[in-house]
Parts: sequence; structure tokens; C-alpha cells
Amino acid sequence: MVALIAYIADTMTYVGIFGLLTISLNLEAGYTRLMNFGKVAFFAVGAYVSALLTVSGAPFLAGLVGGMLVAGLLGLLIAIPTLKLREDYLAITTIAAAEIIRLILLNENSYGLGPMGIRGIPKPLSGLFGPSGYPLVYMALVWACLIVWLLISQRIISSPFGRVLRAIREDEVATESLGKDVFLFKTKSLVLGSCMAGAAGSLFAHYTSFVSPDMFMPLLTFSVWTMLIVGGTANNYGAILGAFLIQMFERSTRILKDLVDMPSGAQVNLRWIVIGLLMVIFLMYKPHGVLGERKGKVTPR
Amino acid sequence: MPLNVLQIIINSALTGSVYALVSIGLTLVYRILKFANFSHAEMVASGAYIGLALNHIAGQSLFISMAGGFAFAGVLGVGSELLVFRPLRRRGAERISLMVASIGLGLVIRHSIQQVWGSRFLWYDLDTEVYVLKLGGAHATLTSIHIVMLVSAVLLVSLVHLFLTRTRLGKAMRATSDSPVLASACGIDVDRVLIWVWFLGAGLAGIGGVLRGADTRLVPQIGWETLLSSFAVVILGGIGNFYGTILAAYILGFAENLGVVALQSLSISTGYRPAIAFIVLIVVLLVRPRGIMGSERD
Repeated sequence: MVALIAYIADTMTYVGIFGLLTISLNLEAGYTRLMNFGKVAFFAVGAYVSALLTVSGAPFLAGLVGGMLVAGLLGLLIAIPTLKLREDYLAITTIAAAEIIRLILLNENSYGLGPMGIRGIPKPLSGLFGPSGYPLVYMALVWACLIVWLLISQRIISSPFGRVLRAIREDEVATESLGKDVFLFKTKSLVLGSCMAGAAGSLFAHYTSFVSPDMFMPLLTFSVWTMLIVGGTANNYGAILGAFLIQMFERSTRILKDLVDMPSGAQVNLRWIVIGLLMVIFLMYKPHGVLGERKGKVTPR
Repeated sequence: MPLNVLQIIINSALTGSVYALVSIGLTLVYRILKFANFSHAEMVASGAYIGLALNHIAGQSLFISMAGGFAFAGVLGVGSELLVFRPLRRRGAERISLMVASIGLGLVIRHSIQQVWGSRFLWYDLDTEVYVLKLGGAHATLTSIHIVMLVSAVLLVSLVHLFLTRTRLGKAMRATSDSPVLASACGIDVDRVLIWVWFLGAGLAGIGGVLRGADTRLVPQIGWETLLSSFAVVILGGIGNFYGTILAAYILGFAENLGVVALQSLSISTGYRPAIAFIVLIVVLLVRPRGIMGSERD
């Protein structure tokens, strides 16, 4: 029973972390049409900054905020050369940036970086609760963070700022001609999304208490993309639903391995083949996902 | 360590040859269908692995591997157009959706390869001879595989040039790449031309994969490893610009090989090699986003 509760808490912790990542991608891709193919970079930066800060003695909250800020800064750095150009240049640049970030984490030997990763990342509040109750506590912490960001995100989207983002998504030139600084709005969207991904990374690092470069492969980005596509683009509840569904699917392939005799690696390959197929099939037959964008009310004048 | 200029030039030509073969298809599809096709990486990988299978069955001759890699990757490219990209376009998918779908398709192909051949390093079974080239006081080594790489790149690029300028189909491809709408208005069957563009582009990428695989080693990520550099080449050369792409391939090949030497002399890990293409990409985007020779539209 205790094991089952711990398993459910672990699952929901991951759903929360990936839900946050998917909401952040939704702000960028779903609402602003920013094709961020390097989500994992911002996630990794959040995780590593938070890990490095807390390992050297800073409190968890400082790690979380630090991870968010540095991830946001990375978003700003990528925004400058790419956001004035066509949307696919952002995709190529972010995918490249994610690889470079991973190379840095892998090849730098100072500051505790390198292939061995960082161990012993403190678990916040673990002193106050016993080991049996801790998974539930951490799950609550992750979901609290998710709900805070969800509220912020919903607020942003329904604000005039969010309307401009959606206008950019629909027609960039028309938005520009209405006097909006499209570049500035896109930059803000990317930086904000990057901060959210940084927060998710920090939550991830303090949960696993260990990070290493091979946890941040490009595949992780496409897992998040699949969550968004399946759950529903431009709908934050859809994004969280997608994170839940894909996380369930990934776990079921792990369970499948225990039930069916499979050669090692087969369940990983099978999982990614299905994820790739899901992306293509949803884009073809249900491009707005399970929950699509809800059309806003038009208030007559 | 003295700077071995001759060796750097030879290595640059080798790297550039693979990039040239891989980038032709990427740039043509990018130009005509206006989306960055990330599944192109897997054309490289599938060519490399089919070439490996043929090498292990038929033995020694790299040409059989190249022909097989070309045919298989070409058919795979046509298949991806007919099964994924054309149906998506018919349903009115935007080009960014095509781009995302190309990622999904890439995952399917790459993990299918990994399922069949595993994720460990694999090598072609070839007898390689090592030659030492002496020019003045400089020494450089190259293998028989390297000679095949250089010769086939020059030959294939020349053939594609002749094809694009001398044949009806090649001219139709250029017309389609200039403007699919106008080409269609001139009576060109754009859908049919596109099939050949996919076949040719993916097939050449498959040959690039065979050559890279024969020269180094095979891993399922072999295509993914070249993808970032290929995008840097495509953007540097100007999207859709065939000659620009060839020139850019060798420029990037040179930049990477020079960069590796620079990394070594600064005692920085050569693990940063992929970062060189990234830096080139960022500089091009900042300074000259249309590429060195320009892309005529868009």
C-alpha cells in the first residue's frame, strides 16, 4: 500500500514537472508560434543552476529563482539573433543551443560539471518529514508550483499582452502594422517560457537529487512536444492532460517490460516509435489535440 | 605542434564532401516546401545502415553500399513525402506543422534503425590502404576510403549540376524550386517533380551516410550528428541555392577542421567540435541571414 502510494506520488511528481514544461512550451509555441525545439536546454540550465547553488549551501528557494533567472537569460540570448527572422530559424537555433549546453555540461570539468554529474542535491523540507511521507510532500510542492505558474500563465494569456501574442501567432505582419513591437513581444514570450522551464528543471533536480548531462538529451524536448500536441495546443489544461497521458504511456512501456519478455532496449525503441507516430497522427487527424483552444468570447460593442 | 596545413585542407575537403551530399536534399525541400525537414537526418542514417548490411553481405565494394544506400534512402524519402508530408499539406497543415511532423517521422525511423541494428558502434568491413601525401615539406595521410569520398562527391555534384541544367526533369525541378505556382502554370506536374526531388535529395543524403559511416563508425545518431552542420550549410549557402550550398559545405568543412585545431591548441576539449557549426550558424543569422550567395526569395 505504502509502495503504491509512493509510486502514485512519484508519477504525479513527474506529471507536475512535465506539465510545467508543457505549459511553458504552450506559451511559446501554442500562443506565440515560437518553435522552441530546444526546451531541454532551459530545463537543464534550471536544473544545473539550482543544483550548483544549493550544493554550495544556498537555500532551495534561491536555487529555484536562480535556475529560473539563468534559464530566462539563455532565452534572451537566443531571442536576439533569431526572433527577427522566420520561425524555423528559431527551431534550428534552439535545437543547436540545446546540444551546445549539453556539450558544456559534459566537457567542462570545473564547478563540479562533467560526465559524472552532480550528486547529493539537497531535497527541500526533507528534514521536517519522514522518508515515507516525503514523496507526497514533494508532489504537493511540485503541484503548488505548477498551479502558481498555471495561474500566471492563464492571467498572461487573457491579458492585452496575451492577445498580442495570439495576434502574432495568427498574422505577424498585421500585428506589426498595428504598431506592436513584434520582436519585443516574442522575446518576452520566449524569456517567460524559458523561466518556467528553468523552474521545472530546478524541481526535477531537487527531486532526483542527482543530475548528469545524459539526462538532458534532445529526445526530452520532443517528449514535451508530443505532450503538447496530444493534449491540445493553446490550451493549458490540455497541456497538463497531455503531460499526464504521455507520462502514463511512458510508464506503461516500463511495466510492459516486466510482463512481456523483451530484448533490452526494445521497450525504449518501441516507446519512441509510438511517440513519433503519435506526433504525426495527431498533426494529421487531430491537429488541435484532445483539448483544443477554446475560442474566446467576442464582446459586442 | 606545428600547423599541418595540407592535412587540414584534406580533412576539410572530406568533411565538406559529406556535408555537400547531405545538404543538397535538405536545401531543395526547404526551398520548395518551405519547411526545415528534420527527418532528413534519418535519410543519412538509413543509407549508412543499409550500406552496412550490403557491405556485410556482398563484401568489400563500397560502390554496392553507395548504390544501395542511395536507392533505399531515396525510396524512404519518397515514402515520407507520400505518407506524411503530402497528406499533411492536403489537409492544410502549416509549414511549422510539417516541421514538427518531420521530427516525429525522424523518431520513428531512428528508433526502428536502433531496434534492428542496436545502439552500439558498428563498422564497415573494408580493406583500407593508407597513403602518405608529400607536398613540399608537408606530409598528410589519407586512406583509400577518403579517395572514394572525394571522387564520388565531385562526380555526384557534377552529375547533379548537369541534371539540373541539361535535362527536362532537372529544369522542371529548378522551375518548381523558383516558384511552384508558376511552374504549375507552365504545365509542369509539380507533384511528380516533387517525388523526384525527394528521391534525389534523400538518396544523396544516403550516400553521404554510407561515406561517413565507412570513414568513421555507425551509431543510430549518425544522421542527427550531421544535421546541425547541414542546416548551417543550407543557411550559409542560401536556402535553395544549389551552388551556394556546395560552396558552403566546403566552407563549413574548413571552419570545423580549423576550429578543431584551434580547440586543441587552446587545450579545450575537441568535444566542442559541434559548437563550431553552431557559431557559424549564429554569425550567419546575425550578419547575412540570406546566406553568402543569397536565396532568391523569402
